[in-house]
Formats: sequence, structure tokens, C-alpha cells
Amino acid sequence: MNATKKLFLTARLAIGDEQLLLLVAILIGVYSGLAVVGFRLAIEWLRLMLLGSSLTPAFPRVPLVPAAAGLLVAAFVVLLFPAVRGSGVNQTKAALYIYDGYISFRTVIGKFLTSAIAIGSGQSLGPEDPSLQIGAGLASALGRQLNLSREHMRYIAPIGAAAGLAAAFNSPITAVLFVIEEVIGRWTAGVLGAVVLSAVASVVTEQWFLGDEPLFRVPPYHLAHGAELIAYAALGLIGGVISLVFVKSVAALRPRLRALPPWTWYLQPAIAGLFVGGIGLRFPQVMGAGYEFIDQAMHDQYGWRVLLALCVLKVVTTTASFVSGTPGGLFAPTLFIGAMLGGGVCAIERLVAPGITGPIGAYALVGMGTLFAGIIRAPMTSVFMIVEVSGNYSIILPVMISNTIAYLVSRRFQEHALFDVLAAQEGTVLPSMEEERESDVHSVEDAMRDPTGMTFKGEESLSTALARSAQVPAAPYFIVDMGGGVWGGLSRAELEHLHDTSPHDVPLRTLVAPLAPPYLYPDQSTATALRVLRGRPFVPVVHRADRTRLEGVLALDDVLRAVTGTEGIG
Amino acid sequence: MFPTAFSTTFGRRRTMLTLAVVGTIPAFAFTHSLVQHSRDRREQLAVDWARQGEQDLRAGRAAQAADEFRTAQQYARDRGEYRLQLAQALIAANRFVEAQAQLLTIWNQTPGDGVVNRELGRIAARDEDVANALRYYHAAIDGAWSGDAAEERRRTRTELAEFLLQRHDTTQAHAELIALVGDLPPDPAAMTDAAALLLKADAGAQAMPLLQKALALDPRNPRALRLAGEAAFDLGDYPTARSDLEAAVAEAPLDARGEQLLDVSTRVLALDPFARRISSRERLRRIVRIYGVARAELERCPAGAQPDLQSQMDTLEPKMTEHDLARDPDLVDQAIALVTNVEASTQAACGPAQGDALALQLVLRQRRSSS
Repeated sequence: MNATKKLFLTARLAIGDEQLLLLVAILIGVYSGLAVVGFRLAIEWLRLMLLGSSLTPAFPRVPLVPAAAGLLVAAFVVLLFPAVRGSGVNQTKAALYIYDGYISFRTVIGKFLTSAIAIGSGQSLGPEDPSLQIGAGLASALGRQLNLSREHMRYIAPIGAAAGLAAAFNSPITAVLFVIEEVIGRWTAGVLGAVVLSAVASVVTEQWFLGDEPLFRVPPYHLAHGAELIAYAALGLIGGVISLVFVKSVAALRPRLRALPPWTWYLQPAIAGLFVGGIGLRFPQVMGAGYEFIDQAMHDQYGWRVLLALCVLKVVTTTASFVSGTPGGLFAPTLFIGAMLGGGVCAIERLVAPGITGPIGAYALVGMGTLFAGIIRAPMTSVFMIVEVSGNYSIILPVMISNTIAYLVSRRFQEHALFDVLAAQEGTVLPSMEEERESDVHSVEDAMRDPTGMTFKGEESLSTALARSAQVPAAPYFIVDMGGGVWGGLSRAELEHLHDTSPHDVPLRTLVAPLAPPYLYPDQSTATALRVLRGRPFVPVVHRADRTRLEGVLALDDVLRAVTGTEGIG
Repeated sequence: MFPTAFSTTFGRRRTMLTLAVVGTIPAFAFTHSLVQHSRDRREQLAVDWARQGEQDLRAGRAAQAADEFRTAQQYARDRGEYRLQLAQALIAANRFVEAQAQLLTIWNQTPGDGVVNRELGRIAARDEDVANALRYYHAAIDGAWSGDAAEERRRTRTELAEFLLQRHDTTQAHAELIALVGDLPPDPAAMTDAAALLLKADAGAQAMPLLQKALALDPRNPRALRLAGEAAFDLGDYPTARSDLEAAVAEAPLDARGEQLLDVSTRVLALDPFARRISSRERLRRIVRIYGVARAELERCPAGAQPDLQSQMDTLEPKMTEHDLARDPDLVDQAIALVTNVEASTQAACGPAQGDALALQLVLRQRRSSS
């Protein structure tokens, strides 16, 4: 007896599951931040060792190093870490939706190792998506050790993903938005707090070691002329087309290469490396993540021909690296392609209309967001990412214009977003966040019945009510206005029962029990309505500003009829 | 059964949580050592690349230097000096647009940096962008400088004044120079430089006292003497002009302009019939001489020879002797009036004169202004 008491006392003093999740989120953030710092150092160290300290490595390191590293990476992927192929975003989603938050620690190690070698050797891929998966994997491992509940375990991977991405971009808002927009797909208060905490803890840890320098140093932005927005719209249009080219190339080539005999899988990353290195001999900018060259593009270091050449070549090299199965991310190449395209559009605009052209850095920034919106198809993230990584809020107007156009162009000609296509090719059915966002949401207003003829005043006598109920033979239930915004209700059967058992001249108010709130409002979703309807045959729908005004009546049958488009079950 | 399982789970969770929290300490320590090692290596790489860039910049290989500074900057992203060096190398390579973009990035972080503002001012001045040139130069003058800030500010204001003078904006230049004079140290060279600009801004009256101060500190400074002569010449003080220019030529050969000023001053002093402390005889002799100069000028410039002027000269010429002039004071006035008319009409028709004719113009101009 004493032992049991002590146990329950301990349990009461211990933190609850929700608080535990928040604490774990902070720990995940810290460990993910440390891992991402280590990952970045590993990439840098490998790059220095393999390609030297010059920004423009020369022959024979280029193209031999990426090719040789490709062989090594392929061996690791095929023999030891088969789960590390690709960017890591879909694996994190799979952990959430399929594997109850499970990502093996072996995958974390494999992702760290193979991505660092690939990116450090010059493959045209980026470190952000692997960071996301590393964070998710660490979170999963920690969650397993702490024996978290199944519900929390499912969300642990996105929490870690946010931490990994936040540290990689040095931008917590972007990471939180991306995870909500692309991985979880909804704003759930419980998990949102944990996602935010892990992202913040991760960025704080990363900044502790690497400083708070923004990802890009951007020259001051100003809109030189209102007509400049036309150029930004054109950038959105071209960006949308280039996004399509990239997504369709990846979608078309990847399954073809995967369908080749398995022995070719050992060679595909090496061939891709050789190809990237071959281009790197003339354009070393396309090798690796390319952030230093994005910085140069933002600082007017290239003419329009070079900028557009780099844009096209990066599309080609990234496609080659990614479809070959080399582990690595698409975020950095996407930003690179966008920056070069934006810079190119600016440089051409300067030739055509020199008086109305703003700084090239602004166009490069907007271009990055544009391609992110077009390729990754996370429109909210694409806008806030640009604002956050540049620390420049005044740029939001052209970013919104250009991103929206690119997003719409991409959607018009490519039905499914890139990550959804990749998941389908892997044979995994993951929910498409884009489709979920845009699926029809039925509201109470769509489903409720018109209350005309189904409403009695509380003062009406039972006999009057009975007489009126006979005029609406199809109505299965009735609402009674008890006054003061309180509503009562009864079914036709209940009314007939009252007729048999109660005096006919007494007011209904004395015979009918009030319905306990909550009532429904017309704008609420049917999902909410289902929760409110739990254990109740029907619920009044009232006006938000005037609860004494009855807008309709809703029963379970009505919801089913609205959602399925049928007559329901009743 | 249930309490035991619950207790086991709870205990294990608490243990793992404690381990995870405590584990951050060695994880931080390990990461710290890695980062420190990486930072040292990056710092060293940045220093090496920057050193190579400096060597190439000194050797005139500006484009190569720019690439090296760019690499240095990548290894030390939080250090603005490499970006500044990159910008300066780009300027040396005549890649002004690129340099401006780099400078604007630094400016965005440190808008009060004197060096950055001055470089931006120079680029704007080169692009004839007056508004931005003024904005950045002024920001540089008011900005923060490492080292001798006062000297850098003076140098910047001097550059700004020179830019304005190139654009013939003497009013704005004058204002800058007045501010510059107020900040000058007791250094004859600095005073002389400022005075030279004041002279270019047609501000001889401000230049003169400055040059006098400079000469008080360094009486044999040939440049100060030469400029003092010019200032005195501009102010119409030809005796001082000649003495200063003669003092200057005694120290160092004069430039062409200085020689011309000395020559004209000497001629003015020799021709001026209105000079004080000369005898009546000398005055008459000078009137005869300027009459001859006017006659020669009329021959040089027939376009200015109106018929009545020519006939008046011919009529008066036989009387142009010291003897006749001494006997007839009206004749003196008549001769001077005629010489004045001739000088005015020839200058209007044929422009500025040379030699004695120029000296005569200056004498008559001074006479007009004093009367």
C-alpha cells in the first residue's frame, strides 16, 4: 500500500507527457544543432582535403575527385546504408506517417557520412535536406530511448527535422514553416510548441559555435521603380518554367536509372561525379552547395551570360547528381539556380532599362525564393525563407509576386510536387501536403438543415407544437427556443411520447430539457461538427454575433450527406 | 504488475533523460574542439590568401588579387576587412560595379565606416553621381576611422572639394574648403594644399591669410610663396605678387603659370601711371608708354578699331610727349580716356591680350574698381 502511494506521489511530481515532449524537443534541438555543426565541418574539411582551399579547384582534382568519391559513396549506399538515398524529406515524412517515428541510427550515420563525402567532393547537392534527416534520426533515437508514447513518437521525427533544417539554414522560422507546411501539414498546438522549441534550441546551439552571420550578406535593397515589379513577374514566369524543367527531368530520369541492373548502382554516382567535374573544369561554381558563388552573384561579380549559363548548368548537374542516387539535398542547388536566374534577369533588365533596375542582390534573393516555390512547392516557406536568410523585410513584395507566379506555373504543368513524385517512385504512399491543403473543406453551413418549421417557442403549448409538427412530416427533430440564447431539442418520437404522457396545455419550456452547449456556428468545419455531435443526435447552429438567432440544425446524417454527396444513412 | 511496469518505465525514462542532459556537456566540449580547430584553419587560410592578394595587388595584378581576397573573405565571412580589400582590388581592376556591390554590403553592416563611405563616394564621383558622391563623402567625413581620423577626414573633404571643383561647382567647393580650413593642423603643407584649392574656387581672399600662416611657419616654402603670389595677383596686389613670386623663383623654378604671373606683375608695376609714390615725370612717362601699348593693341586687333577711335588716336598722337602732357592736364585725362576706350573695344573684339597689353588691361581694371 505504501509502495503504491509513493509511486503515485512520484508520478504526480513528475512532469507530464506534454511537458516531457517540450523538454525532449529542447534536447533534440541541442543535439541536432551539434550534429549539423559537425556535418558542416565535415563537409568543409573534406572539401579542403579533396579539392583544396581555392574556390576554383583545377585539374586533375576536378573531375577525378567527384568521380572517385562517387564510387566510395555508391559502395556505402548499396552495401551499408540503403536508406540514405535521396534528400531525406520523404524519409522523415515516412517516419511520421508509416513507421511511427522510427528512423534507424544507422541511417543517421550513413546520411552524415555519405552526404558529407558527396558534397565535399563537389557533387552538385546541398547539406540542408540531409541535415533535416539527421535531425529527425537523432530525435527518433532519443525518443526511443525515452520510451515516448506512440503519439509523441510519430511527431518526434518532424521535431528533429525542424531542428536539423533550422541549424542548416541558421533560420528557425523557415524550418518551422517548412516542417509544418511540407511534413506535418497542419498547425497542431501540441506539436507546434515542440517544433518551435527544437528549432530555436538548434539555431542557438549552431550560432554558439558558428556565429550569427546570416546565410547571405545582401546589399541594401530598394525598389528602384514601380515598373520593376514587371521584371519580378517575368522572373516568376521564367523561374516557374525552369522549375518545371528540373522537376520533370528528375522525375523522368530517376526511375530509368533505378531500373538499370543493380551493378550499375555502384557506378552511377561516379559517372555523375565525372560529369559534374567535367563541367566544373570550366564552371567550378556548379560544384558542391555553391553558397559562396551565390554570394558572388549577389555582389555583381558575373555578367548575364555567365549567370544564365550557371543557372542552366546547375539544373543539369544537380539532376545528374540527384538521379544517380547520390545522397544529398536539393535546397541549396534550388537556391543556387534561383540566384543565378534572378541575377541574369537583373543583368538583362539593366541592358534594356537601366534607369529602373534595382540592385542585383535583390533579384538573386527573389530568384532563390522563386525556384524554391517552383521546385519544392512550399509557397509560405519560400517567402519567409528569403526574408529570414537575408534579414531584409522590404523585399517581401517582389518575393510574393515572383514566388506566386512560379508556384502557379509549376502547378499548372506538373500535377504533383517533386517530393510527392519521388515518394511515389519509391513505392511509398505518403500524404501530399499540397493536395491536403487544397482539398475541399466542408463547413457546417454546407451541411445544416434550414430550421424553418422545425422551431418552437418555449412558450408554445405542447398541443400547438404537435399541430405544427404535423405540417412538417419529414422533420425528424425540433428545436425549442428557451430564451436568452438557450436552446432545447427533441425528436419527433419524444414529442409524441410527451403527447401521451403530459398535459397538453403546458408550455414546452417546462417539458423539454435545454441542450447543453457547445452549439455550432455556420463557418465551422464538419470535422469540428463531428466532435460536437459526439453522443448528441443533433445540434443547433447559431449566429456567432447573436446566439439567440438560429441559423440551422445539424445532425450526423446531414454531415454524411454533405461529405459524401449522398442521402446519408438515416 | 502495473505499478512495477510503470515504475520501471518511469525510472528508465528518468535515467535516459538525465543521461541525455548530462551528455550535452561532452558533446559540447567535443564540438567546441572541432570548431576551434576548423576556425584556426580557416583563419590561417584567410590570412594566407589575403597575403597573396596583397602581393598581387602590389604587383599590379589586381584581377588575380581580387580572386584571392574573395577566397580569403570566404574563409573569414565575419571579417569585413577582406571584403573591403576585395572591393579595393576590384576598383584597382576597374571593376567598379562589382566593387560597389561589395562596398554596399559592408556599408549595410557598418554604415558609419569612413573608409567604406569614401570608397563609395569615389565610385559615385567617378560615375558623376553628384548626390551619392556628396552623401557618401559627407558620411565618410562624419564617419568612424581607425588611425588618424582627423587626417583621414581632411583628406576626404579635400577629395570632395576637388571633385566639386572639377564639376565647376565653386560655391559648394568653397563651402567645403571653408570647413576644411577650420580643421587644418599647423602644418604648412596642409595649409598650402587647402590654399591651392581655395584659389581654384576663386577664393583668393581666404587663401591669402592661410598662405601667410604657412609662410610664417615655413618662410621659404616655394609652393606657398608661388601660391601667395598668385593669391596676391588675383587680389590685384601686384607688388606683393611680384615679391612673393620672386621669392619663390629664388627657391625653385616657377611653373609656366607662375612665370606668367611674375611677368605680368612686373609689367603692371612698370606701366601703372596711377601708382603711388612715383614722380610726376615718371607718371607722364608711363602715360606716354600706355598710349603706345594701346596703339599697338589697336593694330593687333583691327576688328576693335572703330573709325573714330583710330582717328582720335591719330589726332592725339603728336601731342603724346612728356612735355605736352606736363603743360596740359586736360590732355592727360583725354589720353587716359582714349586708352581706356581702346582697351575696352579691343578686349571685346579680340579677347584677352598678352604682355604689356594684358598688364594695361589689369591696370585699367584696377583703376575702374578703385574709382
